[in-house]
Amino acid sequence: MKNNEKYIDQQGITIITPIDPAKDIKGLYSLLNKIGGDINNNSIIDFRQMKTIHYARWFIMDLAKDASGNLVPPNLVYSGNFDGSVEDHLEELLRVSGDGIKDIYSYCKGFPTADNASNQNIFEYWKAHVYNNQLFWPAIRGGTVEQIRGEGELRDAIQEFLNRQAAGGGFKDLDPAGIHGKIKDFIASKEEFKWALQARAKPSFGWKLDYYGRLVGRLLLVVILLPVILLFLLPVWWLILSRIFEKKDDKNRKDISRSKEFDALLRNEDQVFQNQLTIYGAIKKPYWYRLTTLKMGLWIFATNGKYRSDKGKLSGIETIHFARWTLFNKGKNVMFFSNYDGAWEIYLSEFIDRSAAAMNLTFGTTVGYPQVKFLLWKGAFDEQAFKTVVRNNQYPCQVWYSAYPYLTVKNILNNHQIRKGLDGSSEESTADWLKRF
Amino acid sequence: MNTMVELKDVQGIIIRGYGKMPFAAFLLVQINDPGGAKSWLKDIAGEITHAEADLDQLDTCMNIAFTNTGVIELGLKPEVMNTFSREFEEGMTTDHRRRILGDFGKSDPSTWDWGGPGDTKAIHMIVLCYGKTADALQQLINNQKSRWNGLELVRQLDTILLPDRKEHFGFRDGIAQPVIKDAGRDESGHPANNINPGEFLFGYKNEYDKYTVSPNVDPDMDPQNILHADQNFPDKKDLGRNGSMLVFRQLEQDVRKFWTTIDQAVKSQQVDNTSSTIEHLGAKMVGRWPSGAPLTKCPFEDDPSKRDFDNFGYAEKDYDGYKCPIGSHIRRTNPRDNFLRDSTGKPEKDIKNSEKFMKRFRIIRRGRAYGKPVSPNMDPHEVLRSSVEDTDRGLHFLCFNANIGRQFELIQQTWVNNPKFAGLYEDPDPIMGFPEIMGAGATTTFTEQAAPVRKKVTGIPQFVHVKGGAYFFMPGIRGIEFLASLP
Repeated sequence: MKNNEKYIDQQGITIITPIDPAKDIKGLYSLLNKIGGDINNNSIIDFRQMKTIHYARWFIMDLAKDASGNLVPPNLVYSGNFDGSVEDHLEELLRVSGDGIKDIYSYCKGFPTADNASNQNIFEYWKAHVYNNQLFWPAIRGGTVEQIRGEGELRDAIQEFLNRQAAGGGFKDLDPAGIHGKIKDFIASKEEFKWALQARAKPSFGWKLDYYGRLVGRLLLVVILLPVILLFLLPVWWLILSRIFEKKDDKNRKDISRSKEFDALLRNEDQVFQNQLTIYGAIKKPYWYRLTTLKMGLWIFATNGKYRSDKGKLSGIETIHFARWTLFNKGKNVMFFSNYDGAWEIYLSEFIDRSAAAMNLTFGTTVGYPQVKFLLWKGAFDEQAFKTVVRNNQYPCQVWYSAYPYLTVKNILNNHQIRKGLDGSSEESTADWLKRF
Repeated sequence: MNTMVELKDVQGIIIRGYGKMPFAAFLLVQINDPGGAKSWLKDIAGEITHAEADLDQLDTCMNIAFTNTGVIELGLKPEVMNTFSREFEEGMTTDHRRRILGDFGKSDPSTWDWGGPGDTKAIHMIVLCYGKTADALQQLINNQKSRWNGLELVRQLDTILLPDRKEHFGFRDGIAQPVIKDAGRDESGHPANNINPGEFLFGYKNEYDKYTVSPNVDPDMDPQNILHADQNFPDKKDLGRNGSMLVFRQLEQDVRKFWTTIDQAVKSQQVDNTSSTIEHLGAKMVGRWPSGAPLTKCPFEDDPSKRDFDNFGYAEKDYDGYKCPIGSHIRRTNPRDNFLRDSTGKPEKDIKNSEKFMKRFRIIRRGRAYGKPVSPNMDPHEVLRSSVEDTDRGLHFLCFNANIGRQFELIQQTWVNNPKFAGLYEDPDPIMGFPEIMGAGATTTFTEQAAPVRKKVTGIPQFVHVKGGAYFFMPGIRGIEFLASLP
């Protein structure tokens, strides 16, 4: 019930499964395209019946390479963002669309055969192919699908009420408190919105203990390591090494004029207000240096993202619903997934404007990235070169689902504040609250 | 010391609006014989108006630009075409670009008068002609046409100068323009409005302190050594230098539908005593009064003495949009200091960041109106009384930018057509947004922020439809000489 009883966390999962070379990969492409081509009404995967999925995607990762140019055998990648536990999420996938799931995974190596495909076996297969998140960031912490949709409907109902009232002259001579009272009465009169008069459940003591305990753990780690780091002047050595390795990097500016063909990407872009980004990178050599840099960078951003950027903004960008980094191929490759509002061009422009240095520290460890200086500088500040490398490393997603394609992060945050103005937990004045309409 | 713009090599219309040339016509031309076209180009390269020309001494001006098929026709090979931007090479009407631009329904390219897939003649070139008098313009056109060899006029787009430089809805147009730095223009206005030349011209630094990637050729294609070295790739020669990309959209305006919609909205607001005049609601949708005075400066009534006032922002004095609504046309096509609303929690920092960021999304507009106005004096009340049909009038929208994808297309997609702009929900641009991005049959909502609670105008139909358009490359004068020299 709209998150009223129990505080529920969001999670992200990445399952990378090898495609069976004996199977015709074209068949998998056409199956996935069939689902993606009619995402809400296809008969194979019934996303609309899945109550806990925010976003989900399947794509075929073909022709990926590591830094030495070795091909990564083709994989099927599933990435999902959902409410609650991993087990419940996988269970819901199978319960709602088990047959479709089995069709998709019949193309994958090692997937239980038909007579062996019990839920338990499938779970075990999936779990054996789960890749950890190096960084997972949800914009709306604790906001479940049901809550986000419900608060959207709440806002729409109030807007219609306001329009009706204005047309009937119902707000004449009313002050903000009077209008607020009328809105509240209207909502109270609607059985389907009763939940909105009650505040969302707060995290439990146990949840907080875990959440802040992990922060303390991270800080303790820094404190313990700090003397070692300082004693051996590690940051200085790290920067000196960065220059040595960076100078060996391909300058690559020749490529900035044109990215490879990406018609397949554009076919799916801008169909609704939200888009997804799926990028892979081959981590440059020497692996020990680059991978450590990447992991440290992501560790810092994950800490910052979890404990500081918890108001719907990641590095100052206000349009990301979920973002995630995952290492795969034994740490030789990395993947980035995000679900964002609006167009690719402004999204990338905002990255450059607000977090170019963060991009450099992380993506800067991958092949083809515009040359970085001292880990943080240059790189993404070269706008066209950066945008080109993103396009070049972007995978088309055959299947991409959004549970609320018409709600932006800003809309969702605003809707939640509207609800708080009704359930008594809002801290703003009634006059300010009314600005939200 | 910054590099000064080589004005003598830049075509004049990029730098100046030719306000002294009230008469204009745009000729869409097909090249039937590339040899003939090149000899004409060679012949007239010296007659093209450059940006330092003394307009007082001239009766006419002429500028030239080419489509992607046009430069191919003149002899550019695929490897050179690959150095142009994807937007230019693909053209305006790809499936994805239609979603960016909102070209569906009555704006579907298949219904366009020109530039769409239904064209029977190719559009290779556009000749922009301007004159101080109608006669001078006609003479220029006749003179040029008489010298054409292997060139064919596909369509002539005429223009009209409406009173007080208005567009057909009755609002003064073309007020807010960026100032190109280092080009001899007056840079004493708001510093946020002074933009690096590389945002509009190839061969100069843009607002990322980089050279916008420019079309280039191998040196052996340029035996006469006409072109300079490319700033990004010094072993190549820069075909784009001092040139720009021209976006042309023929926008038809349903003037009576516009004012009728506003009239009905004002009448429906009378119930709760919050109604305003049709001029005021129209001004709220535009963001400026008919005279041009901005609402942020003149919130209650028009003040023609402020008609060209442009030195203002929104963040400090109009943050909530009570004066100039957040979704109004000018506040979204040029968000100024207000794009990063409440971004860092420190208003001063937000303003600075916003101004810096916004420098990367500017265009230079050079449009001209076409078609007879519904009412000669542009009075909306007379428009409401009129029974003239809503056809054959509008705006030939022209704009210049160096990076179509990051500038023109971003503005169109992320600001004009985006119903979610600045935290809104179902509010595309009330003047020219494409509401059906929200689903078939969707209409635009316009929110007037107000205390104690907002007002909304719902069910706004589309008033502006695209009737034609194309992306053009406007080379520098040397670039034209190079194209004319191609074997």
